[in-house]
Amino acid sequence: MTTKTRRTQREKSEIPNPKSERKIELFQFQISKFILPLCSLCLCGDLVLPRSARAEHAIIDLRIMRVDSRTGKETDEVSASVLQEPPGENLDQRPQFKAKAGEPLILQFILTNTYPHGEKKDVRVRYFVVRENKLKQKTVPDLREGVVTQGRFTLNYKPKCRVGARQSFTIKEPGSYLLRVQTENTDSDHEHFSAIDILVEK
Amino acid sequence: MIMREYGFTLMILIWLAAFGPARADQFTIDLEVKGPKAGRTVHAEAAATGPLELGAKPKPRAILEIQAGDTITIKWTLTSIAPKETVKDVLVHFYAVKIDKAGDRPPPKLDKGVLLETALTMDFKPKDKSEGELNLLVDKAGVYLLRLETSFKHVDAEALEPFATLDLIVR
Repeated sequence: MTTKTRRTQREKSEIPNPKSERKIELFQFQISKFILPLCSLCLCGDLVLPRSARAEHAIIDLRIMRVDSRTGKETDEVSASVLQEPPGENLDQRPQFKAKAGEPLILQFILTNTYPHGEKKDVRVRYFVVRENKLKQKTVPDLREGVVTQGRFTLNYKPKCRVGARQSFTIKEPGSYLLRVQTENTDSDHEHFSAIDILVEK
Repeated sequence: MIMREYGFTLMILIWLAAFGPARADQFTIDLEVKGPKAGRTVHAEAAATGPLELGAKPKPRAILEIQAGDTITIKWTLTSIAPKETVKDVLVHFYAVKIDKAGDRPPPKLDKGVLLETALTMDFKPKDKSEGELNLLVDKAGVYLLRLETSFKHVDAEALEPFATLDLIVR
């Protein structure tokens, strides 16, 4: 279990525009912004976590933050890292983010496949924000109703490949919501995911 | 690290020398955007990797109109139609960004007005495809550029990179 929560003031960051860069190095940008901190987290994990508790085939950096509507600056970030299912998560350790109804928010994730043994076809990476009955809900809500936003990608999943998204969104109704990114169809005995609870108040 | 980067580049150059450069006609793109009342589908065009010629006008873009507060569904499919080659490390990049008016060129930097941005990397063998399906609520009126573009290593300076794009007008 490597979930960590933190709140920081952070610089505005973007997945860069490869059109202008004309390189395939989209994610090199994230090396300074995201991957190096992630590597630090992984090293810490090596020291403090039992090997059996680690998810070793993917890195997920999932974040949610609010946007100051006057300045456009992003603040109050909450992040979560990768878990695997089975066994699932310790619900008490699921990070929580508080927001106000109608407040501009941004979700962002970068998923890196660290499974080193060949390519897997037609893997799906899905992310969503969906209403849940209560915070720390164990079951993932049905995505046929209560979805605030969602997306999915289907790709051949080769070692070191990456998938990422960054999306502006708002939640209009107060309540409990789940932000989650997950892998599907990896032809494995487990899948990887990362999750954050969102408590939306009036 | 440097050796690793050079080694990777060298590997790409050797591969490209052996199999030829990646060309735009190695991919098809379908980009479908659906609003509550209407939808548009656009297909791949090709962008020169070098600068556009002086005075060159971009091709008119397709337009979809919706109302503020509508949710759109964006579906894209990128398929390799290369007969033999594997195109390595293709970056598939999608974004929705506010622009001043329909037809404006893509902004050089995606540092403001970006509603949604996604990216993935993948090797494309012949007939391989990648798909995306995204929901996006657009709650502010304005004009937005939606664009799916690709980027990959070339040895041919005139090589083309396929993209598909349309303008979203939100009333």
